[in-house]
Amino acid sequence: MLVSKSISLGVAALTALFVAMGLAYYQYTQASPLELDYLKLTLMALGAGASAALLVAVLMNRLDAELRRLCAYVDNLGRPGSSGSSFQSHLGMHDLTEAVLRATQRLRNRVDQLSAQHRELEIHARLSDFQHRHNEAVLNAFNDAVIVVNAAQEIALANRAAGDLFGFCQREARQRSMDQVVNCQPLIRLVRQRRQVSDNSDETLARRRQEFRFDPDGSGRMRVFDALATDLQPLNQANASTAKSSTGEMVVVIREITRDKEAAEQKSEFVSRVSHELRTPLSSIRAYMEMLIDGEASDDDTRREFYSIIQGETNRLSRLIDNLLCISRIESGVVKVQRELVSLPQIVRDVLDVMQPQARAKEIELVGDAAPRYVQVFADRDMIYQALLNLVNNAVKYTPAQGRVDIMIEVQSDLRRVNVHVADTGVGVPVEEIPHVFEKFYRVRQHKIMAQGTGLGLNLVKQIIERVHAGTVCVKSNNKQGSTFTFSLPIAEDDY
Amino acid sequence: MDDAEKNKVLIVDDEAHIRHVMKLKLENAGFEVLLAEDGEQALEIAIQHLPSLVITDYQMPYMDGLTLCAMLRGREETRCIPCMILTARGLHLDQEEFNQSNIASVMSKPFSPREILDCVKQLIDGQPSSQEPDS
Repeated sequence: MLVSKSISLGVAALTALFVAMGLAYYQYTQASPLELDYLKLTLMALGAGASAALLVAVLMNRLDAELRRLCAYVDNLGRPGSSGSSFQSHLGMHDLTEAVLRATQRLRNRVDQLSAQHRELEIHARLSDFQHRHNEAVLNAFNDAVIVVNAAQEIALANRAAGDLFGFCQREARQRSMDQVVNCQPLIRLVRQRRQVSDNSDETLARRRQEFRFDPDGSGRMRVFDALATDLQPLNQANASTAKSSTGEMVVVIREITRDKEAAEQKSEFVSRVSHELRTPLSSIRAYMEMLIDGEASDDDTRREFYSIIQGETNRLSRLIDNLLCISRIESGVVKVQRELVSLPQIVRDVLDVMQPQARAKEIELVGDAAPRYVQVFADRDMIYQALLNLVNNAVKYTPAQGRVDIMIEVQSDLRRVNVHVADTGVGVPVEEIPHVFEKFYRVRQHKIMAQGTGLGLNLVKQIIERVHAGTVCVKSNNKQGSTFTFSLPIAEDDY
Repeated sequence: MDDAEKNKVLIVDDEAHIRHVMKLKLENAGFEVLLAEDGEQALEIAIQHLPSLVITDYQMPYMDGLTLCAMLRGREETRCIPCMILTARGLHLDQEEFNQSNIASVMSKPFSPREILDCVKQLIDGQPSSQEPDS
């Protein structure tokens, strides 16, 4: 445009000059000497103007071309693969071109820098995403529920166990108020209360921990949970437990302790029960001893009675301790079991030998299976003997005088099992009490009237037969018409 | 209540030896002793005989001592009978629970018959342990 304008201007100037020269020639032939002088001056001025216009036109043309070249050069600088070589100016515009080149180079460097930063950020973003997914996977592997709560009481993060426990979707719960998502008031109170605690030290543990009962699935069964809320400290804190500053976020870990609690309660109940059972004979021993010391037994018969009671209670205490230790060893798995081929008929004969005097004293007919069958089990001889002895002892104890106790061995060849039955004509066990007779310290009501007992004999039978020897034990009874206790064991492989 | 009735003590325990030794101790001290081996039986005897004091074991089958005391307190005719609980398990009541119940004393097993007698005298007669109750 500039070129065409300047050329047009030059051409117009030349044209005007030629027209003027034409007119001048015409005038020259007609003009006076003064008019000729003016004409000459005019022609000279026009000539000079035209020349100047032409020169300007040429210069503009060249400038335009130079600028075009410069534009093309600058334009090319930004393209990938451009050499970046310096611009050779034909019009002496080196300063301008060098300045443009420098600016362009700076821009290029900046672009390179930004590209490198962008790549770095991309890498960090990928790593961060990987780390985030890894952390999520780690959290989801926890059985404990983990919830991260921000300062606005919104859920920032929750693992799968938390979602399962409180019935929410992990991803949908994010940034939602904890009060809306978690339907558990004790937990919400704990989080609020935790905000009032200044640090994560041991001293504040009691205020940061909460045990609560919760029915997550609406089944009506309350389960027990233990929740611990910990402030998330900034990573640069040297000692997280005492650091006072906080990110405002809190991690709450919720662990189900129902089984632990039940086990602890059972243990506590057991210890309490044992304490009671041990103190009961001790009470008798102490009371009767004091009566003797204070001279409250006025005659020899009374004194002998007291001595007898003390002796009996001492024996009871001793049996109780023995049985407890035995049961405890069996339950904890530390009992030493010496298995061997044991003849059951021989065990029956041994028990009969021991129990006959007691039976005879009550005029009870005690009969054992005398058939010399070859029935063996692979078992601990002493334990099987103890189990049978306990059953026969009970049968004799709780059978009134002139009753009968039978010990029978029954072989079930098809099942490869042997059953040992102890049947009595005693007071029996009421139907409602049958499910409890093998429990520790349980004593049938009417049995307590008839004789002393530890309440552990049948439990020991159960432990020996079922836990140690993988057998079974059961009872059938008609109230006041006697009972039949049966234990069953697998027959030894060498037999049959 | 006349003097003869004041001296009735009901002993409730599922252990025969305990019932026997306490009976002996209290009878030797001039008290009339009634025996029961469980809470249900004790309730019937208490309603019928209105003893001056009930001594009961804490842990008994079917109805424990605490429940027995509550049932005695729940009945008009027996609500004023003080109760003493003997426990091998450790039973702790705070002052408010004591104030709101008819339980006058809790003693641990194994117990001393002497101490039982002292406590019985205090609860029935309000007298120091050296004094004998009226027979």
